Amino acid sequence: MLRASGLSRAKRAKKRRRPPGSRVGKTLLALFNLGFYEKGNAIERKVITVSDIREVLHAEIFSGEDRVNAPVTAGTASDLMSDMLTGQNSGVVLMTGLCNVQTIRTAVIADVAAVVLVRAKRPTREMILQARGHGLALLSTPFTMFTACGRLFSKGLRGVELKAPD
Amino acid sequence: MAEVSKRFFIKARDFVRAGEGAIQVQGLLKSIGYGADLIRRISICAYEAEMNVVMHGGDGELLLMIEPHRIVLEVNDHGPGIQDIELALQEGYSTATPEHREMGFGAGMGLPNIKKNADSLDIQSGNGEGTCLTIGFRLDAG
Repeated sequence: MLRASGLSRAKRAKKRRRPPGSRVGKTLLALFNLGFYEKGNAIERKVITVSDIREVLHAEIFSGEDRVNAPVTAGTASDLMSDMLTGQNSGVVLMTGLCNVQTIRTAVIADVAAVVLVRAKRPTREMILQARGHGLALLSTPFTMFTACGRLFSKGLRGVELKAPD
Repeated sequence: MAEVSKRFFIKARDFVRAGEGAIQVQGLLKSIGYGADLIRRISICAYEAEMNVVMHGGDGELLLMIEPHRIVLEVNDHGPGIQDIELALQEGYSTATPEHREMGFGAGMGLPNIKKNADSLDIQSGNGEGTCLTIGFRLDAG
């Protein structure tokens, strides 16, 4: 039976669930993404959101629920926190199997946007408190490191390298 | 003479609190409103130096001094000291224990990374004498 609005109940429910401002956010992201389509050996990339990461990685979120529309510019994966302190990691998502409070402190110092614990690792209470205190998104995915990286890559997220080697 | 100076105590082997001083340094610099790149470089140096004290140095302290034309981090500890400073500045050289590596550190990148991010680095140390790092950042460098 057709309804007056022309939308099925499921479609109307989906429309209601859409968070306010998400269309504006998506437009801004699309415009931002255009800036990366450069000539030469620049790597084509997309900026995604914490919300996209949660969806693609079937992840549970422990901190940063209020900032799921925050942009994530690139991805990196490491269990070695020393590596996170070298190079530019500002605004990126860190995939890691290292599940202790130093993961959070290193992420804060390196100014990363989100931390994803792989292999369904659960953050400790101290990690959650620290992440919340510093406005850092903290998630946990059941996927392994390799699969988690691959899934985000297939969504257009790229590594921190801006250019391919000559 | 420093316009602002702040001191943070560092406790040896306290891996639960390790890095809190550096995070407070980062927060203070953000509240003053310095550029993102300068804050990133200073925070990384403070964190690397603090972790070195926690892992190797015995108790110590981190001192942040903000002067008109530069910012200085002074990191002192009462640990065993660095026997060969030139060797310690080589990337990959490490005396870290398995416990340090479990925390994600000990790759031999600490001092080289401090040198890379700072505008100046002075290391005073000797066998059994503790270590004093003086790390400088020019304020005109952004």
